[in-house]
Amino acid sequence: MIWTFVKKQLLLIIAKPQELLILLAMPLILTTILSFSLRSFIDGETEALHAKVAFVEYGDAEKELAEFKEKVDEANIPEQAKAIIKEQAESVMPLKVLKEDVLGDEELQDYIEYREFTGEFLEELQNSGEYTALIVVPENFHFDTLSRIFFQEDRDSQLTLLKNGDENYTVKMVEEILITFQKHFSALTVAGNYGVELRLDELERDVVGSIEMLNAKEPVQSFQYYTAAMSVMFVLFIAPYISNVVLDEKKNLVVDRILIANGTRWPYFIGTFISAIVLAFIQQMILYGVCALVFQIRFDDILAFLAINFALCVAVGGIASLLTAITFYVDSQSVANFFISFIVMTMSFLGGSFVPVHTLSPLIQSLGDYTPNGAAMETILQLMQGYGIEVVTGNAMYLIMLGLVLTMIGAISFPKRGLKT
Amino acid sequence: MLEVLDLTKRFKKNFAVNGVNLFLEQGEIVGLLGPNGAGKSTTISMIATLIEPNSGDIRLYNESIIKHPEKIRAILGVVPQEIALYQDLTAEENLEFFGRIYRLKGRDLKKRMDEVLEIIGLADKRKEKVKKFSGGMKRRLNIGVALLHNPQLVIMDEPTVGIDPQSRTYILDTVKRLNQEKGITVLYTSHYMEEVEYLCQRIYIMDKGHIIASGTKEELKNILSQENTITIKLDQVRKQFVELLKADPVFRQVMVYDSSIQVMVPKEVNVFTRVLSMAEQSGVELAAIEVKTPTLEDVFLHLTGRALRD
Ligand SMILES: Nc1ncnc2c1ncn2[C@@H]1O[C@H](COP(=O)(O)OP(=O)(O)OP(=O)(O)O)[C@@H](O)[C@H]1O
Ligand SMILES: [Mg+2]
Repeated sequence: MIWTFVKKQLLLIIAKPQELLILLAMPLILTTILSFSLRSFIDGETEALHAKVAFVEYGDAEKELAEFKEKVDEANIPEQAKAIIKEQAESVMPLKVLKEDVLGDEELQDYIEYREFTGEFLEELQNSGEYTALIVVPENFHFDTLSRIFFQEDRDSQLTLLKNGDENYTVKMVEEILITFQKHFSALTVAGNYGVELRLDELERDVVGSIEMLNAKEPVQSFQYYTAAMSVMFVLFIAPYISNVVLDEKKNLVVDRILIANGTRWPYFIGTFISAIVLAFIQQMILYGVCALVFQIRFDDILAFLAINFALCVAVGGIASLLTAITFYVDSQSVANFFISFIVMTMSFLGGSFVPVHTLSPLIQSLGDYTPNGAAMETILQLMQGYGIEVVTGNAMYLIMLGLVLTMIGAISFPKRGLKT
Repeated sequence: MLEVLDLTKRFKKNFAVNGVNLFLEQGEIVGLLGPNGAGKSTTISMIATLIEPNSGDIRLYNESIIKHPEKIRAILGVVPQEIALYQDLTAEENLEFFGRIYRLKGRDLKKRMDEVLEIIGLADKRKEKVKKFSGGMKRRLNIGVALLHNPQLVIMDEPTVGIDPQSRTYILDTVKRLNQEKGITVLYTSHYMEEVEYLCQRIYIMDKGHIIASGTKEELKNILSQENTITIKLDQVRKQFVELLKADPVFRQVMVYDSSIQVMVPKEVNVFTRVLSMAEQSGVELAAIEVKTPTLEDVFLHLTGRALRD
């Protein structure tokens, strides 16, 4: 029964090429135009992916290392162990590892440069805004950290990250590096009871690993950006398309006919919901298919890509159901028109379909994350950068829930038996 | 078979259907006649269980269908007033879609589609899109869809609106054939008297939500047995002449047209002398005076003082 409705919807859309124009040709044309004309806008960001980091150090690393060595000498442990610890302390000096092995990595050097300052420059640096991030190193940081690693002493030694701006890629990149780095040091501390040698090996391998992961994320190109942007925007047009078909069906009494034949409104209502999902999904697959051929858009993780798209289509199905129910009451195409000219445009703007809104304001971006198109687009861009299924789950769940909730509201407000009352 | 008791439906303050009673015996063709806005479609929608009445009952084989709509849905075919079809799909695609909605499948569906296309005479047009059809062909397919599931009772809501005379004759004959050959019971709604006169054994006349008369053709026309309908043809309609006519109490229901006037008069009145003297007084020239045998149109006029169609 449901399939009958879906099949009808497919036949209808094939029979009317004007609709296909809006749903398929328009996004493809716009993708091409916007990708070319706004190329510098998007690709420019790639070049801006260059972070300047300042270390603001209150202590003196060498002095603290010397103090730590004295502490080791005084400790009540075998001489041989003392020698090993002293030797290794030098190589695990926390900031030294960060600066030389991580930030100093050949490939990362293209993206991050760092300089060192003493404490008194902090205020000046904060005001200048020249640096993407300031890493503040408190006094005794090295001493405390080493004591924690080698003697399992409970010492509070923390770096403070001062971010310049919040939501741009470079800041995120620095943050990510620091978090990864910090994880390794705390892992080191927790694992304190096992041999130091072993932990050192682990440290080095993992830090290197994290750098590789970072490098794998390629910056988004303008073609990729607008392929995603236009797809998530034009999938929204499926909803008013469906609600207009339903309005026709109501006006020419096809709905009456269906209800007389079928008894309840549920197969019809669910048929509408599923049809919207199927149409939306087919539309997306065609769009990405063409973009794959023409613009070489690729996804490493096809399954993750399909999952987020399916979730987006469910959300669109929900919007279609709700729009259909409202259209039934208002009994006019104005519902669909309002949706197209106002809601789609607003959601597309917030979601970043026209310009990358995160460059405009964090508020707009967080609003955009709640729009179905924005949520899907964020994920799709991440997938294009090489992330996998791990970035899909959250947004996919959100989209599916949104779709189901909207359908529920639509179902409740869909008129009962007396469709004319 | 079907009985409608004191059926009432109100839209806000407007009584679309107000205390309607009617019945259908198995195998009958019954006409429901009335002008625009009489409440015909609303009555049909209630019988088809699409609208819930405010009060009254609808009984199928003595069981109320208001609580159990599924009882009537299985045996009922409804031909809606509009072309309730997908104009962008072909005849065949439409039939297949609605057939599946009626839960027909496979070979049964194919067989019924062929039969229906045969009945409505569109077998050779099955692959054409409905929007390419003539008005008459669309109406035929509109009927065909209602026949797919072999209904015992078919309700037709003005199935011949806006089509050429040929298609109309075809449809009327099809309805008659369905009734005679398959014993299908039909409730036929229209505002064309001739159709109802031609098809129906019994007729209900509806106006402003009420049934204002019912019976066989002959019974209804007997309402007029006391009166004749007279058409006065003139070279030119003068106001003064019309006023004279209206002032005389023996002339009822004066209808003024371009070059003629229609009135009703009791049979015993000598029309000619009266009309001649009025014509003289007002200085109009009479072309002819015709006495008509009454039609249902006249019955309606007699009952309501209005013409059935504008
Ligand atoms: N959904 C509705 N809401 C409000 N009023 C309605 C509705 N449907 C019908 N009516 C009113 O009820 C009255 C009867 O309408 P109905 O459609 O039943 O007439 P009808 O006899 O079928 O007329 P027609 O020959 O024009 O089809 C009309 O006055 C109409 O305006
Ligand atoms: Mg009607």
